[in-house]
Amino acid sequence: MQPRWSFMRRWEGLLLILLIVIIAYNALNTPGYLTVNNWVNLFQLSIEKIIVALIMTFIIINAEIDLSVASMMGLSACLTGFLYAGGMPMAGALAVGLLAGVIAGLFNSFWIGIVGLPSLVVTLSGLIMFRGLAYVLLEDRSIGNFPAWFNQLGQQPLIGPFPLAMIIFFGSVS
Amino acid sequence: MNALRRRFQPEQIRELVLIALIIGILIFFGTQIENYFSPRTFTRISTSVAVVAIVAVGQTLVILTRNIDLSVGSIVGFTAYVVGTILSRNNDIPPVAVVLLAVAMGAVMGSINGLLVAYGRVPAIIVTLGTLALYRTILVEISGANSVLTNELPRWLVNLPPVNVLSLGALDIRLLFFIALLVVVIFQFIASYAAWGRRLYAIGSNPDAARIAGFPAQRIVFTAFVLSGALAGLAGFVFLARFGNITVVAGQGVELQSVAAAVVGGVNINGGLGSPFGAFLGAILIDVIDNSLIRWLAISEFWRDALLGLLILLAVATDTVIMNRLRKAWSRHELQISGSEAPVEKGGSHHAA
Repeated sequence: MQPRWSFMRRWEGLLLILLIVIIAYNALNTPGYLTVNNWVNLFQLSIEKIIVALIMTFIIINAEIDLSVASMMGLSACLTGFLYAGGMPMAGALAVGLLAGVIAGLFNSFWIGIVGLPSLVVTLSGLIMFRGLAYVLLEDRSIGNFPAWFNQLGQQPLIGPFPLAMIIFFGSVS
Repeated sequence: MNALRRRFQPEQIRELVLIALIIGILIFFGTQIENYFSPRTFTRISTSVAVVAIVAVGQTLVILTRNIDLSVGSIVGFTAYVVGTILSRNNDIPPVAVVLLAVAMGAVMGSINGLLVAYGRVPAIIVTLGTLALYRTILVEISGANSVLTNELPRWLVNLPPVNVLSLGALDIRLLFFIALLVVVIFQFIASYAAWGRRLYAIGSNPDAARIAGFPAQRIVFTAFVLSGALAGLAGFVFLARFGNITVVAGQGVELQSVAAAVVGGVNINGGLGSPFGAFLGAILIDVIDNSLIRWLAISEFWRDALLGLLILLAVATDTVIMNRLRKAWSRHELQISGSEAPVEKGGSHHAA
């Protein structure tokens, strides 16, 4: 009945407490845990999940679900690499990769919103299908040798010690 | 036609729609693949469908109550690996005890899910997503990076897959497929006629009403999860018998395959609608597509998953469209009878013609 602390009884409050306990435990037991480098690293490792989870919130609030996101990520990345290896400039390949994600999403929403199938069924087949399309593109090859600026985007600090991943995180959360 | 309409509801002939779809797909691939309609194709598909079919039946029981069990893939892998390890150390455990051990292990893991969902009131998708990871992690920990090897297993188990129960003409019903058939038949009867089975539907279609009506809803949901775990344990035994070599990733993905089979088979993901037999047909439909795509020379092997996903989607869409048409036809018909009470026997046939 104390309004100031009532948020603690909600799920977010409980999660915050859990997070603090885990960080405190790690900070006490792992040397170098609280350094900037380690935190930058932690964000870089989880940025894809953060972006996907943020949008997934809106889908789940609507009592739907999207199981196909991981396959979409794979398809979009494979398409970008495929086009770049085929001679397209990196910026164009990136744009087409993003567009592929939009089209895959539109494909899902056509079957869910217009035909009226359950989202679980549609995105379950999407999970298999988009991954399958990625196989069609790359078969058993792997693609590397992207331009230097693109590689740096993921790995080098962009502003101060913070890389792109962290900036995207704070941009998308706020 | 009218007598037919009065006797059957669209939901009862949904299985017929699925069977028609399967036959249609078989005919299509029959024209595409040489020597497709052979006893070997039947044996191949019936053996590979056994594991998913057994799990899908358990999954159906859970989905009927408006829940979901995502942990089954880990339960299949866990029981296959642990039972295999125990067997490779003591080769002379009697077969019946082996099967019972697998089922019991699955039931224990299922009861943990059931306790948390039914009595702990945690959403099923969260509980079973958690135990999916948990059971797999425990398996990885206790395995110490070892695998179960076929040559360490007792001979009776290794020789199990080619055992025939009966032959229909040239088609052989293998023991592993027979086990799956038995499971489907038993649970189809339970779901259709037993009080416990009917209550699954009641809880799934309206949980509040079921509770007010005084059903022991918590106990029924709990039992559904225990049975789903037990059937996943049985499937783990079948998996072990079929493959022999078991690594810690065994059974990965079975959770999604079983959900796909149930949903393609007409089990409503929001509970209350569907049947174990439907889920069985769903499992067969997916397996027929998957197996046929491998052998279809017109496409490269890399196209397989892309087409499989698309075909599952199209199968469900076709099924939904046909069912909606049928439901509309039925409700129009019902309006007609209730609209013209007395002369319906004489004039009714006139209308329909």
